[in-house]
Amino acid sequence: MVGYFKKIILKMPVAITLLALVIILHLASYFVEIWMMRLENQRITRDTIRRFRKLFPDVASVTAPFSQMSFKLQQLKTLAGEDENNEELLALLGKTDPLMPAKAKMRGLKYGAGWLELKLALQEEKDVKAFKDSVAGIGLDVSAKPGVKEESGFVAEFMISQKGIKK
Amino acid sequence: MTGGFTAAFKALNPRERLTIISGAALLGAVVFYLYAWEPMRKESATIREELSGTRRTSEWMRLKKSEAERLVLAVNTALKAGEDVEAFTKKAFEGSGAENLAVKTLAKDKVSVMAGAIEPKKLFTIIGKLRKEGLITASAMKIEALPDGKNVMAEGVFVRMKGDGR
Repeated sequence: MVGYFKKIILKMPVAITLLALVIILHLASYFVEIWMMRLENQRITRDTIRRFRKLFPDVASVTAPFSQMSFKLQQLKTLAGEDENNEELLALLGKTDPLMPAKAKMRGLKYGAGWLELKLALQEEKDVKAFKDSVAGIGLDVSAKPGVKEESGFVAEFMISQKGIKK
Repeated sequence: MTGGFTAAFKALNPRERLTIISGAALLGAVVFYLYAWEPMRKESATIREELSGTRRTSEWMRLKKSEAERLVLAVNTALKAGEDVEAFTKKAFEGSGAENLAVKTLAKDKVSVMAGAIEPKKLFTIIGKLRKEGLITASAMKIEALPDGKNVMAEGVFVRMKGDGR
């Protein structure tokens, strides 16, 4: 059978040689490409780790620079009060204050465990729902106790927190 | 055994030989494709994807570098400034005009603050300053409007945030 293959090869030497060359060159190009990409990958990874270590020299080992840096940034943002889901008093007040109806007066405020309790004197009863809706509209959890009519208007209490904070 | 195979092969008619040779050539091509060509192609695609991810991470880190540096500096400065929570809190209230002010240490990194009367705007400015410049945050707070309509009575517990910004 081998003899038959030899015969076939000898019948079309140029075509067979060209075919073999194309295959070998293609495989070689794959090999070289893989080798160069590996080198490039190693170089960028080394560079990334070096930059990470420069920023956070205390980190013992850098195994996943992207997730480690994301975690560190989140930690720093929380400490610096720049976290989007900041549940601190000032963050909640900062978000709700611009939504307060005109001429609303704050009677009292309580804060604890991520919950802000606001006691507001509002001009009209409809302001209670309007304020509650606008606070809910910016993605905060909010509940309101029905307004009590007083001389100065309606006094209502609102419980506000970031989403998912248990009372 | 080889001799037997050769003899059997030679005994076949030309068409049968051609069929067997074609089959052998096809089998060789399939084996080559499955065990040489395809693994090489897959390896190349995998590394290309890996490299693309590494490049994206590197670019993302380059973009986030200045933000990280700013945050590290701000957090470390504030952590150092707010080391003595009571002293820092007292200092923050200085000149605020707060009446009956009492700042007491409850535990390490934890103080209670009581102000009989203070302007709400000043109070919130102080709370903001404590938070930003000393990493001291209000963990509990109670504020009530006073009958004068200008001032509030405030009491709260402030704690220094944990963690290092390095």
